[in-house]
Amino acid sequence: MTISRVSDAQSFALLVSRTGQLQASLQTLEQQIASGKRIFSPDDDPLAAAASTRAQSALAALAQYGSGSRFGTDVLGTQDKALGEGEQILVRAEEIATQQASSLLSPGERAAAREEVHGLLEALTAIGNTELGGRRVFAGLAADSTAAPFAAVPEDVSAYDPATAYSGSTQEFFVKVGGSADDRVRITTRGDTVFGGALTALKDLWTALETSGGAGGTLAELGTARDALATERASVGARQSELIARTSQVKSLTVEQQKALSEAQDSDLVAVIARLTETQTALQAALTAGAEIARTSLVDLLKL
Amino acid sequence: MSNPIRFGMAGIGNEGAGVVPFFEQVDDVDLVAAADLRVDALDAFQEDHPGAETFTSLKAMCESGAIDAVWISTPSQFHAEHAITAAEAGGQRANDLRDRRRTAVADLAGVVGVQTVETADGALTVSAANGAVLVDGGGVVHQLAVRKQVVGLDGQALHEAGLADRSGNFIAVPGTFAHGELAALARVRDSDLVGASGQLDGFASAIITEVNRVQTNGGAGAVDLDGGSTAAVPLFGGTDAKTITVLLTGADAGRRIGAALSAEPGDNQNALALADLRTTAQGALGATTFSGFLAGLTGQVGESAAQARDGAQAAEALQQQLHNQRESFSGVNLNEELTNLLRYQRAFQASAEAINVGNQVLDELMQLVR
Repeated sequence: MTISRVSDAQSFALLVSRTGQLQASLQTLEQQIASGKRIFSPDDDPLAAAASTRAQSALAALAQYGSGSRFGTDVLGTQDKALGEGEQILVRAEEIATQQASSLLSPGERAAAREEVHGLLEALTAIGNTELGGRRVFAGLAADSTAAPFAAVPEDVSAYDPATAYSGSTQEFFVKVGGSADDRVRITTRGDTVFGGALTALKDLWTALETSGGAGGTLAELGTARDALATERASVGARQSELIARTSQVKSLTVEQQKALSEAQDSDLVAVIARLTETQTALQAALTAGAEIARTSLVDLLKL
Repeated sequence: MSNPIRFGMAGIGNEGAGVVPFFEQVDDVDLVAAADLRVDALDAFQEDHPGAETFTSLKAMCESGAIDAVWISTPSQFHAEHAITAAEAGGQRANDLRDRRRTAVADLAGVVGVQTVETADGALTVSAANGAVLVDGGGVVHQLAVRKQVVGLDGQALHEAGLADRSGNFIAVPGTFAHGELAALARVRDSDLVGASGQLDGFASAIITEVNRVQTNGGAGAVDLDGGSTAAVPLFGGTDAKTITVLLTGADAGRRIGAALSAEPGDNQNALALADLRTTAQGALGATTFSGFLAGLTGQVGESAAQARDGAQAAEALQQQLHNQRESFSGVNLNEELTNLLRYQRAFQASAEAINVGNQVLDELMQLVR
């Protein structure tokens, strides 16, 4: 049905409703410009609102994985350095054992060698007790313990028992570096498994020097202990590089997620300002047209 | 004065009874009839006014020829209705009153959605969407009634709109108010809100259950920072979105989180299990993760709201269209009215001119005869 008559009430009602709609649009656009966001409630864009919720949750998780990876990298770096020093100590011990096996030395020289082995034992114990920011990196789950995981070497080395020296945890500490429950990386090394052999070998070397026995017999033991340290060091290096890769992956994923979040919720200022101008023009036109229609009446045109 | 104005009372309830004495104080009016639905009230009136006529219908009184004017003292909401009946019985067309009645009915239709039928005497029969008659023959058939129903989401009683029978008892008739603002509000309250809030409750309940399960290590107890067991230290209280609370509060709240499974002072095994919850598919949430479910719910609620907004815009456009059509019949366009005015004015001028010419012709004829 076509409209055959436009009543004056209708014209004015239309003007009021149209300008009202335009003013509401203007207000929304102004809000978008002021806040830089284009979503104020989920119904503004349901899909974008859901995407924004997902991106925010993913960003929070990535921050957690990132800090876990960085912490793990630091801890493993410290371990790598400590294990390297441990290897040096064993190399020195092997030198002493070789010297003692291959030449006849005076009792005084043997005493000096014993003294040095005693020092090496203390140094290796100190390495086993390495701390990073108050955490014992070789204490397993007991990382936060204030007590050192390895007992100090007594003055009388004969009373030292390497088998009972370790008092740290026998469980390992993992950090979470990804969404899956399997994305965990072990960042501690149990001191007893990695240093147990080395401490025993040093004690045996000391005993051999004390009892004038063949120090050469301990060479194989020292070699095995050094291999154990080297193996663990390789494992530490592998895990460290995994964590470094994870950290950089987390960084690039964070950038991606921030982009997704921005696309979902940020307003495109150029587009919004263009629409603001367009809406302002439309409002201006509606008001002008309304005023014009209200003014042009037959009453004004007829000379009665 | 020999011919006093004969008045009939429409409605002789409390308001009418208050007016009656004044008729006796005024000389030129007589109170000669009364109309009311209540027969006992009419009998009482007749006792006080012997000779007065009584009617159970306003229309019958107006058409009896016994009266010249009507005093309307019915309940206020029927004034327009009864004024129309009275005015139109006198042969006029009560356009102004009808217009007011139409506006009132349109307002009512906006709120509860009603249908109207005009009877032969100009009275309206107003019925609800399912045909239940609300107003008929100038009287209320069924009152709108409201009663408190089950407890709603906010813990307050929900109100149900229905009808009341003559003795005031609530009658629940489903579909009585299927349209209008009331129906729309009830629909949002009873379906959309309940649905979304149910989902949110499920979400909160899953969080409470799962986090507490890990925190208490399934009841076996994890170990907090001070070495205490968390078997009886859940993190969340409550059962749903309305009642969820954090039970671990205060300065040492962080120390009571069961991060460890052993007494070792660096144990993070249970903390890892807590962190794993983020990506674990929850059976209670349809095998989605917490954040996935929340994102889905956000999208779903947004979608419903966007649909409702679009629906409202479409309905507004339709209403505007119908309004325009009605206005094109009943509205006033000043230019059109002015044109019509000019046309009648011209016709009047032409008629006057014709009379003038005729007059001159007659004049001249008279001159000739003389």
